[in-house]
Amino acid sequence: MTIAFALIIAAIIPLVFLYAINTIDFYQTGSIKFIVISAAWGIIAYLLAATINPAIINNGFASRDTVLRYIAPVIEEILKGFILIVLVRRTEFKYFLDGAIYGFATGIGFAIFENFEYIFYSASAIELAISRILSTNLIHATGSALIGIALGLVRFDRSRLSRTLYLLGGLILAISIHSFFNNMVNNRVALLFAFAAGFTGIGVIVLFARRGLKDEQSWVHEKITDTEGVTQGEAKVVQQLGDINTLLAPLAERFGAEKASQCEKFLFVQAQLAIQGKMIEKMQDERMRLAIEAQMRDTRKQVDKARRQVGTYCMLYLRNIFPADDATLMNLMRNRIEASAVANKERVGSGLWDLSERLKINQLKKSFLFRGLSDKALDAIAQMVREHKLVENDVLVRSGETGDSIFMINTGWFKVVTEDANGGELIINKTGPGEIIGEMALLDEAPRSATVIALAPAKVFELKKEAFQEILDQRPDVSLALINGISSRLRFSTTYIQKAIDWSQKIAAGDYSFIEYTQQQNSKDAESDADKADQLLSAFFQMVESVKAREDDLKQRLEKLELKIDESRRKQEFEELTGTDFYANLKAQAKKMREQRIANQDEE
Amino acid sequence: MNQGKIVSIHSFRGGTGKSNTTANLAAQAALAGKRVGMVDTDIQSPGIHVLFGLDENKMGNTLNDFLHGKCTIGEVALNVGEHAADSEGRVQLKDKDIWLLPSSIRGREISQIIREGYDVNRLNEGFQTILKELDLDYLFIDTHPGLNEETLLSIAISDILIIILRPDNQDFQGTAVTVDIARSLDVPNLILMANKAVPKYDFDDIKKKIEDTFNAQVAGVLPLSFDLADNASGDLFSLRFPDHEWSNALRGVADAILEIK
Repeated sequence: MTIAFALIIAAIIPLVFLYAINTIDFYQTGSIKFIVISAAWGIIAYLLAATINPAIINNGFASRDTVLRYIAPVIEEILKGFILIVLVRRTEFKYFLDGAIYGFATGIGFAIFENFEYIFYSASAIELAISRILSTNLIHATGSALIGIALGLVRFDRSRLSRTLYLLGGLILAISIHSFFNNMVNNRVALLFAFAAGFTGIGVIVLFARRGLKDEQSWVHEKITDTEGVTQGEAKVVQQLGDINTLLAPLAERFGAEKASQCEKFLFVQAQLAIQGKMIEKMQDERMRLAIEAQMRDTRKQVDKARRQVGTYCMLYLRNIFPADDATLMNLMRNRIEASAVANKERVGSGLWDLSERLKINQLKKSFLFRGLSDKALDAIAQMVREHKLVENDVLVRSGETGDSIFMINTGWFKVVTEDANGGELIINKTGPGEIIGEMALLDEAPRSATVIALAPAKVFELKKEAFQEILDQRPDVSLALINGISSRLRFSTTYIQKAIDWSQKIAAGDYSFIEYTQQQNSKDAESDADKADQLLSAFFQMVESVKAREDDLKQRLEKLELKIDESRRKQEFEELTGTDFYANLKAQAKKMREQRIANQDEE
Repeated sequence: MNQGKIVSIHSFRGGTGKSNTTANLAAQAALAGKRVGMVDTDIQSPGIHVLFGLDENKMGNTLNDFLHGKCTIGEVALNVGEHAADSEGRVQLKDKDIWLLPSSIRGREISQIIREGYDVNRLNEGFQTILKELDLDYLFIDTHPGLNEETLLSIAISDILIIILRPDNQDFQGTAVTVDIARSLDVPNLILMANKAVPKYDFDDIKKKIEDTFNAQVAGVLPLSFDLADNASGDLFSLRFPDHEWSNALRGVADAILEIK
């Protein structure tokens, strides 16, 4: 019973330790696979050592005591080290500290089996077993970790001398610690020593890690200063993103692109948090302060989330290179974010650089759909919308296309047009800030009913169908607002149609007077539906007016061609001309002459 | 063999483009291979010679000389085909059979004939003689506007009467009387031609209106053209600018004349 309990402890404690390494994501470039391989090799190394060591004693090469105190540490550390050589030489091996992780795993694999052997052959008390388990694990893990880190250093060092020194140093240190421990075995201080050795090992690792990172840090700082010089005065976010990427390049090389982008995100949200902190200092309005505080809480959550994603190990690296209190980096990022927000207000509003959630919410409030929602609900919607900027004549939606978004007009005016029978553009409505576009196609799933074109530079928020439907599901008030919006549009259509019929009747009666009157109005002054319909229809009826003008013109031509002949004058003139002797004579002569000519012709 | 036809071109008022039309119609007929003569009977204000590049010095005997018995009619006829090479349009008439019988442009001779008058019968004899002498297919007579004795004569003796009118009320009234006279004198072929029609009007409509009013064939509605009014070259417009709208319409009128057997 005691043995079984001890065995379980011997196995579980180190495995929990390995599990912890995995869960806190302490290693980076490897995967759990290599930790398992390392641990498995530790077991094999133990089996080999358990064969070699007794063989040396049985063959009389050395006494049991000598083997235990001096030869076994050498053999065991070397055996364990083999797998490390293999793992470190992989092309994917990027970071020398990973060697320490593999070393830990190998050492633990070895120690578990060695402890099994110890538990089987001794009848020690359970507390002794536990102290033995802890100490053996520590010694084996530390030893192999030292060798692992030495191999890692060797891998990344160009100088032959330092490579040899690293390797020998690691090996000698590991063997020495191991040998020293074995000389104390069964001594009560052995456990203390083991802890000391463990800490020493970790200390050495940290020492080397810091040394390595220091070089990296100075390189990065150089880079920051460089880019500072290059892009000073420029406020292009895109370029700054590029710069950050350059800065994070070594990190990406070491930990992969995904990790780098997580680090980038972490740095951004952290900078954002810093800016929000600064904003709150300047803020006078209590309501805004509260809103920003709420935002800061949210950002802090994001920071925590980003930190977890980055992982402890990579975080250590990151912290060393970009410490939280690194004034250079933080100031740089802060300045740039602020500069870009001021110099290029237009750009604020997307992704990580979005410092204007508040602004977005205020803009969303303009839309009649969301007017009644709380800031919290709007905040959720703000996360779902995408801002688009349009220039004059940009087409927002095109008639006949399938629609899977609605748009909320933030700024700018749009015309809603359809084609008339001749392919000409017919404006059926104009719409501006606060209005929504495209909800019909979203609700009835029919193609877009009209084309919507920007009349001037404009900004809209796009909300995807799924997100919109989710909002409708959750918020009956939004559904109600939507129905209200559609009814008012329907009401407008009714007014429009009524007016069109009314005017058509006037035209049929030959009354064109209303056209001139309606043309004097400006679209932005429209207050009622009737006014708006007047304006839109007047554009159409202008066409009618031009038809009228053409008709008038035609009438004028007909008048000109209604050439009148004064018949009495005609008769009088004819009689005056023909009443003379000359004419009578001429007529007679002409008759004779013609008869003569016909006769001549007949003769010929 | 057919006898040559007398084609009188008349308009009730001046300024209808009569001389210009006569010259271009005659030129088109000559281009079509016909033997063509032109008589400028607008003795009071002759003009057709200009379109053939003639001046006082190039003209020999004139119609005035013939009417005063100073020469025969044959001595008046000037072959403009032979004198044609001096402009882009006229050069096409080189070696064609086309003669002009010009009126005098000397002021003294003009005032003399207005003062003294002349024997219209002698004019008629001259027409008949020149038709035979030159074996003409067509003799185009460019008349004086309005209706006086010599105009009535040229109408009376013509086989084809072309009345040019502008689409306006005054021309309509005058044309109506002329048409009545032509019918009274049994002119066998009556052709109307509208000239100087303002292009913004519907020409088909103008054509129909005139035909309906006078119950006569309208062979063409020719547009008012600044290009033509300008006629800076003093050339035969329909030869110089054959693709012009006016030229196209004019050829239509020429075809109508040539179609008459």
